[in-house]
Amino acid sequence: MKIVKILCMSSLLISTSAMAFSTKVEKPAVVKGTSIGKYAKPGAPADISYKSQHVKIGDTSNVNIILTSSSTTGTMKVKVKVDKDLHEISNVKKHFSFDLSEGKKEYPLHLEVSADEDGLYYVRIQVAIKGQGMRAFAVPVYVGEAVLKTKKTAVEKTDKGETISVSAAEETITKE
Amino acid sequence: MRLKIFNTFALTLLLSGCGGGGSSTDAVIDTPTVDTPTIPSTGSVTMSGTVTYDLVPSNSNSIGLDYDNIRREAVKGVPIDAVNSSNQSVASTITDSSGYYSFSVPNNTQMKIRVSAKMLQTSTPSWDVKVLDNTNSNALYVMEGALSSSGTADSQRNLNAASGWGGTSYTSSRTAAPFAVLDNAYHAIQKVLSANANTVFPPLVMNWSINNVSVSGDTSLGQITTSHYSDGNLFILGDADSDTDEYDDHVVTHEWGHYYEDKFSRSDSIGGPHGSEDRLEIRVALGEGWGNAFSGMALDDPVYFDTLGIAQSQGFNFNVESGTSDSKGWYSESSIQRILYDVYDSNDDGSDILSLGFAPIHQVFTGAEKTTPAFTSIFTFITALKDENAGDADTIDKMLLSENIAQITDIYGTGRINRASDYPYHELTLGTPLAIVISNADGSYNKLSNRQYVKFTIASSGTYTIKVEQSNGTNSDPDFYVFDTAPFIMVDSSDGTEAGVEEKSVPLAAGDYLLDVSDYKNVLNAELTVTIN
Repeated sequence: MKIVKILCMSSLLISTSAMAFSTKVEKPAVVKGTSIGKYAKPGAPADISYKSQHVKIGDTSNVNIILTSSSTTGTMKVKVKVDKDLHEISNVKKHFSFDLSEGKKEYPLHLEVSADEDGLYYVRIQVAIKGQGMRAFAVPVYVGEAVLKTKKTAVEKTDKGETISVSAAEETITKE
Repeated sequence: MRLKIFNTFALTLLLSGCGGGGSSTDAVIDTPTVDTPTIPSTGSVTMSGTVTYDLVPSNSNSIGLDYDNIRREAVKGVPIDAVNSSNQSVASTITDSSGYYSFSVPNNTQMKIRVSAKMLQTSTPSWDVKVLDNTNSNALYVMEGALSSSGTADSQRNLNAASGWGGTSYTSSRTAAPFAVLDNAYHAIQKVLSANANTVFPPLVMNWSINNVSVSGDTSLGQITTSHYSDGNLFILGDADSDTDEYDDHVVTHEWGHYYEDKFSRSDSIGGPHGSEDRLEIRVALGEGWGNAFSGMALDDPVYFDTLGIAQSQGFNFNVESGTSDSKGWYSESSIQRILYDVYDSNDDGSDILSLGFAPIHQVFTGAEKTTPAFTSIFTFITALKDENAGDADTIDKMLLSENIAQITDIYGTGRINRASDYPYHELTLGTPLAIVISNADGSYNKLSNRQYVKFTIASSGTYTIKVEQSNGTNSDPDFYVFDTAPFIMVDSSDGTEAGVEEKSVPLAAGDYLLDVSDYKNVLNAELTVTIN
């Protein structure tokens, strides 16, 4: 049975299966994903497919990216940004472009990265096609126990039991 | 006396609550009681104020955000609570359209003002919208002022949600973002209420987080694919220096437009990537053109913009009123967004001398479009609009023509001239083979030539064999989906993997049906024969 099913809303998404986050990574596990067939907000007619390796701390993760576009004319400009705590072993240009053509459908990229700490890292790709907009993609790189690196705001409960995330307001108090 | 307090109290309190020992940072904790001098309350005072958020506008060329011109925008229609030192709400109200609130509170009582990023009204018209952090226990975003005595006289407490921008990057909490996201829902709701003041809006959760990135996966990790709508939820990007959408108001409102389609109308769109120059499958073209046009209507601003990149300094835009495209036609979201916006707006330009406003559009989407026996498309929308506004039919036809769309006379769009060979509807007589062609000439999955629709009628209930077979080879992989048209619902499908053929016996009651035929392998020209026996 094929995965693709017709959906009645443009934005009902088929999510990839939940990622397993093991605390011990004995051997690289391949993480795959694609934007093809998924809802996309307005923007450049581009898609991404990727494979990256879930590796142990210090090990090299091979990240293979394929960009595609339904546009067959013009140029697709690409920018690559690697999370600051992710070491890039390969030396890939960070700004480059592809000439889009009728015969060529896939535009590949390969990076090698590693990290000194457990975490969920990202390689970010930005594409722009003149006259047709831009689009951002992120490729996850899982290292060790792949937890979110950003600090979360601790949550509280209101007196009605609602879970809230509290931020401080800028406040001006005037007493008469 | 005038005090300005940047409230760090809550943060301090929460950090101390985390303690040592590596406790989870997303654990739910109760706010501890704070010991404060207690003066018995013997009366009440009025506390009032204005609540705002930092709105970061786009640059004047609609490319990138303009952090040099942040302005304060009212936080409209949200709950305000006066919360005492025991975390009990002692007074509550709702801000008005200027962000103003006022309530009577106990005097001489320590309290803080809590502003919730939600809008709730239970009496008709009603709505229930919340902005939650999908990466942090689905917690509701709130901002709070400092605990301070209500005193013995009336007082004012004005609160602002800061953007967190530090000059070249975000350096502190992006408190304003959830309120910016919510403000788009406020405007969208107001636009719908302008057409029907008694609208009951089904609940909507707007999920926003600084962790929301452009990749599919686990939404609790922020892997939301992109900003999108799904089953009563909006997911909005917040990935700084890559793609944030909290201030891209047209992006958020476009997605709200999909919520509207889902809850108030009907969309048969199959989704997938789409762009301004794409020749799209007709259901997708209407859905995305609608989303773009509605963002212009709700915000009364025809310039759609989306910011991206380092420091949100890049981006792109298009104008749903005056834009143009090389691929005009009945399959173009750009053409459709311009037609819909021209029907709505009061600005005459070119062939647009129509100014119907939002109500007739709302009438079509919530009426005829919900029950149409055809797939939702510009054909169904325009047919209903002309039926309901007969005096404007000629003007509507002229507007269509300006987008290279020949006069629309029925819900199936019979009589296409532009790209007529890709016209998707076909009539099939049971027992008689029907030849159709599916191609990847315009791209894959959701483009114009990727799908063909077959109309057929079942005279008497029974089991019928539907077969789709390639006649020019076996390199394709046909699939089909069967839709009953009254009421309109998908009743069966067949998506096997056999090369060049798809066949299934399907029980069907008497009635009119549509078959949606596609090719999973998306080959260049798959010549297919459809038979139903």
